[in-house]
Amino acid sequence: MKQQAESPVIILFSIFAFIILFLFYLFSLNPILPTGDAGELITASYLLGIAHPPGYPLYTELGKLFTFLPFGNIGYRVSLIPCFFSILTLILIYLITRILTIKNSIFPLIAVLFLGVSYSFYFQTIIGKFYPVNALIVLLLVLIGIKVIDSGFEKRYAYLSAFLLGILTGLHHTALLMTVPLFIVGLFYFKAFIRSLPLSLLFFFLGFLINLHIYIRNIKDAFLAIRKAKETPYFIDILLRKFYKEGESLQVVTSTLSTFEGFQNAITNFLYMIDANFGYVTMVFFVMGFFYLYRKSRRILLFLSISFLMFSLVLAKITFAGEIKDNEGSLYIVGNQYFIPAFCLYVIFMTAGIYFFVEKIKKLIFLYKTIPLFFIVLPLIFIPMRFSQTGQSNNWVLYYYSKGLLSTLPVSSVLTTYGDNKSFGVWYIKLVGRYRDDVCHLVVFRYEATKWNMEGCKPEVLYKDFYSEFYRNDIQTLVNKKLYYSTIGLSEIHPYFKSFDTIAYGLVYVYFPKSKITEKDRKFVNELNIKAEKFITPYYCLNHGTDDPLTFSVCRFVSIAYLNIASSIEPNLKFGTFALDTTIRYGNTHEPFRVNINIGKENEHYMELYEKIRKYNAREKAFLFP
Amino acid sequence: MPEKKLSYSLKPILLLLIFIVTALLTRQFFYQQKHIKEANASIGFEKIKAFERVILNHFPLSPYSSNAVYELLKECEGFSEIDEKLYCYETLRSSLIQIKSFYQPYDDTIKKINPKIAQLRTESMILWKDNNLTNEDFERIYIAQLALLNYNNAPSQLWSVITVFSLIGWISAIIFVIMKGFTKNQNRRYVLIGMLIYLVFFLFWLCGIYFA
Repeated sequence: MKQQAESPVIILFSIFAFIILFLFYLFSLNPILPTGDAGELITASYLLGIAHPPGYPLYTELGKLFTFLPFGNIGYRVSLIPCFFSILTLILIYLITRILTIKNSIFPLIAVLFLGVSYSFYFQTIIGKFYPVNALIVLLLVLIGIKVIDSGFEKRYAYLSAFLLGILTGLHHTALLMTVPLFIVGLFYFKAFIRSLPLSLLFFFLGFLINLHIYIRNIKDAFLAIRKAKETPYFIDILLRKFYKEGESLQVVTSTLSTFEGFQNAITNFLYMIDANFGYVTMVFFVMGFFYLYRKSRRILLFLSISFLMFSLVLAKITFAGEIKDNEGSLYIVGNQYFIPAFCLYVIFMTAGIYFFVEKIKKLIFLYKTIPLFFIVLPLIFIPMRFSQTGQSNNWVLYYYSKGLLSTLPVSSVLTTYGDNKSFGVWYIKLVGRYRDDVCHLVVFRYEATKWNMEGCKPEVLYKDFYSEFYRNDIQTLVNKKLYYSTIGLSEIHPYFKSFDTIAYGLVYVYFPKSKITEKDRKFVNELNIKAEKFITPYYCLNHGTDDPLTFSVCRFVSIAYLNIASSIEPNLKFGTFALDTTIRYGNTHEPFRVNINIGKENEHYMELYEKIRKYNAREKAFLFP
Repeated sequence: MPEKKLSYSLKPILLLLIFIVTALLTRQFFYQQKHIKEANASIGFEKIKAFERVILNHFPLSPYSSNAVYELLKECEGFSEIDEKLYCYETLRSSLIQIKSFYQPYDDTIKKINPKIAQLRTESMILWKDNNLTNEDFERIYIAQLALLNYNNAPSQLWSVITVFSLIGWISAIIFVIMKGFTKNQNRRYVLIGMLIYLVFFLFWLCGIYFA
C-alpha cells in the first residue's frame, strides 16, 4: 500500500493536537496519591517490591525509574507513567489508523481525539495505573499483526510478538488475549509460522524472565503486597494469582468460558461502556468500519475483529458477566480499565467507518470537507468538561485521609486496615513518605482475617522495642493500653468480636476489652475525638472536583469522622437530634454503625460538615453511575 | 510496503525534550504558586498543609520550596502542644522525603529535625498514661525512636539505578537482536553482538534486583 505524502498543515495540526492532549493529561494528573491500587503500585515501585498478583514487575521497575525524576513528589512521578504511555498509545492509534485509511492523516486524528478524551481512557491516564502501558503493548502487537498481513510473513515479527507477549506476563494478564489473533495471523502463513515457533518460544521465555523480579525480590523480603505475616508465598502462586483463589488466572478463564451463563450480561455491560465512552451513535460508523475493512483486506478485518472480540466480549464474559448493581465495583474496576484495548480497537473501526462514509459522499464537496472537521472538533468540546468533572488535579483526598488517620493515633500504637483505599493510602504515606513511622501498620485481606500483612511494621528489629506484646501475640495488653486501633469495626463474624468492643474515634475505632467499657473510657474517647478534629482535612472533600467514586467513598468515611466528633460533644442547649442506624460495607460483610447525636450550638458545625461532604460526594454524581 | 529508512535527527528529539521539560516545570511552578498563595492566606494547620503542598510540588532551584521549608520550621517552633508540634515536624520531614529523587533535597533539614521528632514522640509516649512509662525510660525510648527515624527503608540508590537501566538495556538488546539479526537474510553478527549485550545487561539486572 502506498502512503501519500502528508500535508505539512496536517502534520502541524496533528502535532498540535498531541501537545494539547499531553497538557490536558499533565494538568489533570492526581497531584500525589490517587485512589484504588495506585498507592500500592507507587509503594511497590519506590521500594522495588512486588505489587498484588501477578506482581507487575514491568510497571514496578518503570515506576522506580520515574521516582528518580527531580521534580514533584514520588506519587506524582509514578503517575506520570500512564500519562506518557497514553500519549504513546495515541501515537500508535494514529499510525494504525493511518495505515488503514491511507490517503489523509486527518482521519487518524479523529481516532486519536475520540479515544484521547473518552472517559475511561482519560480516567486511567490520570490515576497512576498500568492500563495505558498494557494498551500500548497490545497496540504494538496489533501493529505487528497488520504489518505481517500487509507486507508478508517475516519471522522477526513472529519473534518480536512472542517477546512482547513474554514481557506482557509482567503486566496485566488480560493483554495475553492478543495471543489468539496473532496465532490466527500465523495460520495465514502456516509453514513459515510453524518454522518460526521454536525460536518464538525462546523469545517468549526471554520476555517472561522479567518475572524473575518477583522471585528474587520475594526471597529478599522486599515489599510484597500480599505477604501474610512472615510467610513467603511461592513465586508461581503470585504469578498465577492463586492468592485470589476463585480469581486465579487460569481457573477464571477456563471456568467462565466453559458456559454461556452471564453472556447476555457481558454484552449489555460492554455496550453500556461503549455508550458511556463514545455514545451509541458512533456504532453506526463502527459497523461501517467492518464494511470498509472487508473491502480493503479481509485478513486485516479478520485479525482486527478477533482482537476486538477477545478484548470486548470474551474479556467481558471473563470479568464483567454479572449484573451492574452499583457504581463502585464493577463499572469502575472492571469496566473502565480492562476494556481500554477494546476501546482502542473500537475507535480504529469507527474511524475506518467515518473514512468509508466520507469517501462515499465524495461528490457532495461541502459535506466531504466539513464532516472530517466536525469529527475533529466534536471530541475537543469534551476537554473542558472532562477537566472540570473528572480531572484529578485537586484531588488530595486520599493523601489527607491517610495522613489524618495516622495523625490521630497515639505514638507507637498499632493500626490495622482493611480495603484497598485505606490500606494502600497508609502504605504510601508511611512507607514512602515515612510519615508517623512509629505506628505499626497491619493490613488484612479479608474482613474477618487476623493474619496480617506486616509491611508497615518492618524491620522487626526496630519495632520490637515498642511492640513486644504484639510480637508475643498479646493483643489484649495492647488493647488495655489503648494502643490498638483499626479502621474495622467489629461485627459478629469477626473473631475479635468475642474479646473486644469498639468505640468510633475520628477516622478509626479504638478497641476495648469486651464488656468493660466504662464511663471513664467513653470520656477518654470523647476527648480524643475532639482533639482529632484538627488533623482531619475536610476542604478537599468539598473541593476535589472529580467524579471518581472511590474518592467519594473515602470522603464518606471522612464525613463519618465528623459524626464521631459531633457525638462526643454534649451541647448545653439541644436544637434537635440526629440518629443514624446503618451498615458499613466491607466487601461482602456489613458492619452495623449506629450513632445518636444531640445537636446544639457546640456541634452543629460538624453536622453541617457531615451533610455537605455527603452531598458533595453522593454516589449518583459518578460519571458511570448506572 | 516499502521500508522507509529512518532519518535520525537529534533536532526534533531535542525540541520534544525541551517541550516536555518546560511543560513539567511549568506545571510545578503553577501549583507551587497556587499553594504558596493559599499558605500566605491561612493560619494554623491549614498554613502547614499549604506549605506542605508547596514542597510536594518541588522542582530544582525553586525559591518557593526553600521558602516553604523555612516557613514550616518557623511555624513548627510556634506550636506549644506536643501533638501539634509533632504533626508539624512530621509533615515537614515526610514532605521532604517524598521529593527525594536520586538525591535528597534539604537533607540537612531532615537531619536537624529527626532528633526533635524523636524527642516529641518520646515525650508523647511518656505522657500516655496507659503506657506506664516514667522519665527514666526517656533515654531508651528516645534512642529507639531516633533509630527508627534514621532508618532508610528504600532500596540502594545505586543498585536501583543499575536495575532499571539494565532492564531497559536487556529489553532493547533483544529487540535489536530480533529486528536487526533476523531480517530476511539472517545477520549472525548482529545476533551475536546483541546477545552478548543482552547477557551483560541481564546479569547486571539480576545483580541489581538482588542487591538493591
